[in-house]
Formats: sequence, C-alpha cells, structure tokens
Amino acid sequence: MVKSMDEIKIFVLCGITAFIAQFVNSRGSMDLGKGFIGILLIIIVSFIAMKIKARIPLKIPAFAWASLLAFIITTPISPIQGFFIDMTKGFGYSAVSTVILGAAGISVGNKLNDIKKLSWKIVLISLVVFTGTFFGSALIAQAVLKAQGII
Amino acid sequence: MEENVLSMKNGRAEIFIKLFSMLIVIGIIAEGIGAKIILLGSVGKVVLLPMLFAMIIAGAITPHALGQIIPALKNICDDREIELAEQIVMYSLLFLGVKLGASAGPNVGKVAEAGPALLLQEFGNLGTMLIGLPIAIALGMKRGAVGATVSICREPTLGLIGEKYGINSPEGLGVMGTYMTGTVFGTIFFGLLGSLAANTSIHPYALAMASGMGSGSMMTAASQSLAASVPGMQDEILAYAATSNIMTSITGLYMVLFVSLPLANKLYAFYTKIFGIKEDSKKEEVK
Repeated sequence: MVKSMDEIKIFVLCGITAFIAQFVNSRGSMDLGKGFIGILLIIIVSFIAMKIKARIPLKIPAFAWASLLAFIITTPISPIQGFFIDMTKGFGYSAVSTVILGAAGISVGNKLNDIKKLSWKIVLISLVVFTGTFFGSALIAQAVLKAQGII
Repeated sequence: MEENVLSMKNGRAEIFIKLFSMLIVIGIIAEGIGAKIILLGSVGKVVLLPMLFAMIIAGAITPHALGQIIPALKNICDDREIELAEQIVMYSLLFLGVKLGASAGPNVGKVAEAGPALLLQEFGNLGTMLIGLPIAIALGMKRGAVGATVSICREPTLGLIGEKYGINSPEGLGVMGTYMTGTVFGTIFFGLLGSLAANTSIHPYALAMASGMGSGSMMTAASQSLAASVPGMQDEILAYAATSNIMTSITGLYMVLFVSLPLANKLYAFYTKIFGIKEDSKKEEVK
C-alpha cells in the first residue's frame, strides 16, 4: 500500500514533467484539457501495468504489460478506443522521451568513464546491427515470398 | 536498513524536488530547442531530437562532469539524485510503453492481412546477433554487447532492457548507445542501405519489408531511397515498407522479450567461451 502511494506520486511527478515538456513542444498550442485527461489515462495504464507485474509471477516486465494494455485498449474492438486515442494523441513521443532521457542522462552520470570507453565502438557496432537486421530480414522475406510464388 | 529510494519520507522530499526541478528545466530547454535536422546534400540528413539534447544536458550537470568544475552543482545533483533518477527512468518508460501500444492497436487489422512473409521477416532482428554480438564482444564490450546487439534497439528494446537490467547497467548503456546512434544517424544510414541494397539480387519487395524493421524515420529513408533506385515499383515498395513497420511496432517488443533477449544471453555465454574472455558475473536482474 505504501509502495503503491509512492509509485503514484512518482507517476504524477513524471506526468507533470512530461506535460510541461509537451506544452513547450507544441509551442503553447496544446489542448490543455485533453492533455490533462491524456496524461491521466497514461498514468492509470502505467500504474495498472506495475500492479499486474507485481501480481503475475511471470518474468514479464511492466513495460511490456503497459504496451499490451494500451494495445488492447486501442484495437478496433475496444469500446473506448476512440476516446483513449483522442485524449492521448496530443502527447507526442518527443515529450515522453525527453523526460526518460533526461532522467537517463542523470542516472548514467556516475558512469561517464564507461561511456567514454564505449564511444566509437558503439557507433561501429550500431551500424553492424542495422546492417545485420536489414539483410537478415530481407533474406527471410525473400525466402518466404519465393516459397509463396509472389516473386 | 537500506534507504527506500522511492519514499519521500525522512527528509527525502528534497531529493524529489531537486530531481524533478532539474528534469522540468531540462525538458523545457530541450523542447525549446526543438528538433534540428541537418541536411547533408544528396547523402541524407542527420536528425537531432530534443531527447538527445535532454540527455546531453542531463549528463553534463552530473557531479562527475560539470559538477567537478562547478562545485555548487553538487548541491543540486549528487549521488542520491542519480540513484533516484535511475528509478524514474523505469517509471517514465511505462509512459512510452503505453504510447507504443496505442500506436499499434488501431493497426491490428492491417497486420492480420499482411501475410506470412511480413511476420517471419521480423526474425531478421536475429541477424544482428550472429554478426553484431561477436564483434561487440571482440571489441571488449562484455555485457554491454548484449544490450547493444539484442535487436535494432528502438524504444521497445530500450524499455525492456532498461527495466530488466537498469538503464545504467552495462546492458543498459549498450542499448542506449545503439538507440542514440540510431536516432541521430539512423535516417542517413538507412537511406544509404536502401539504395545500396538495390544493387543486390534480393527482390525489391523483400528489401522493402526489411526497410520497416526500425523506426518510422528509418523506414521512410530506406524505402524512399530504395524506391528511387528501383523505378516503377514505388507504390508497392512504400506499402510493403509501411506495413512491415506497423508489424514491427506490434511484434517487436514480444520478439525481443521472448526470442532475442534469451537467445542473446545464450549466445553471449557461447561466444565468451570461444573467445576465452572471462565472463562478467552476470548482473542480477533488478526485479
């Protein structure tokens, strides 16, 4: 119970931060009422995801539950699809990401030496990763499309 | 007894006030700067998003960066704020999870029609591990290699690894690295991939599907340069690429959770043995 209260406080603080970031992002043109309900809905779903993770003893992170819940809520068969999308669409990825990466930037503050060591290597590895994914995926698609006789 | 990081009691409210004031100011500055796109002639463009500025500013004000030069900064941002920030990342990532799910939900029908090729090509993500993981280990990245190469590292991977290992764990730093590189250079690199791949004997439809494996802007860059290189197929290429991107947005998360990450951990153990590298004691999962 105490933990739930702590979590709600943190979600609300994160929500306020994201709200302000979104307001600046929209250069003041944001619909404040919708934005308020939108962030509230996002907080509720996030909180439920936390609770599901705590109750269900599978090794599935709350992040996956949050995404799955929002996915189900926004499928065409969901009765609140329209409402949920309408309220939350004003919240762009940018504002949410700004909060996350701001916090991430601070949290890696005591690991700056590790990051320096990574620097050029990580760029090189990333490019290998992108190339590997691209061609891995292309080769599978090629094989399946050929098997189906489409190409 | 260890202090409860999430609690505001026992004079800890101050830590919350300091940290969130910092995050709000960082958010205002970063979003105030806005997205900057640097065009590089015919090569493509470099994209600098507010979140990149947020991260740089945040990293700069920590005690081991500017804090060493300006001691007063340590009064605002010190070890206890850093410790709390790590938790805040996990909580705010859930917002991103909700956004990702809500982008995918409305498109579920399109994906059902898309057919087996689009579904199966999602396994292409494993391609990174076969080549990327051993190279990363050979470069001495240790556990960071798992984070960096577990997938193409867009938001779903960032969220999963961030929660499972913590964002400032070696795995977390790895995924952040690939994520950030993708954000800044993804457009330009995928643009190049799209046009270079047109010279291979792989069918443009298959390449179009491959274009959709990353973010929306990666998909746009790759599919447009592919379409420009293969005349007369523009509509089909863009449609396959867009549908593949939607498919990725729905399945990507579960692919990483149930397939890529377990496999990456197994391969990591295998490769470190082959290379004779002493394995880092595997960090305990946070939760």
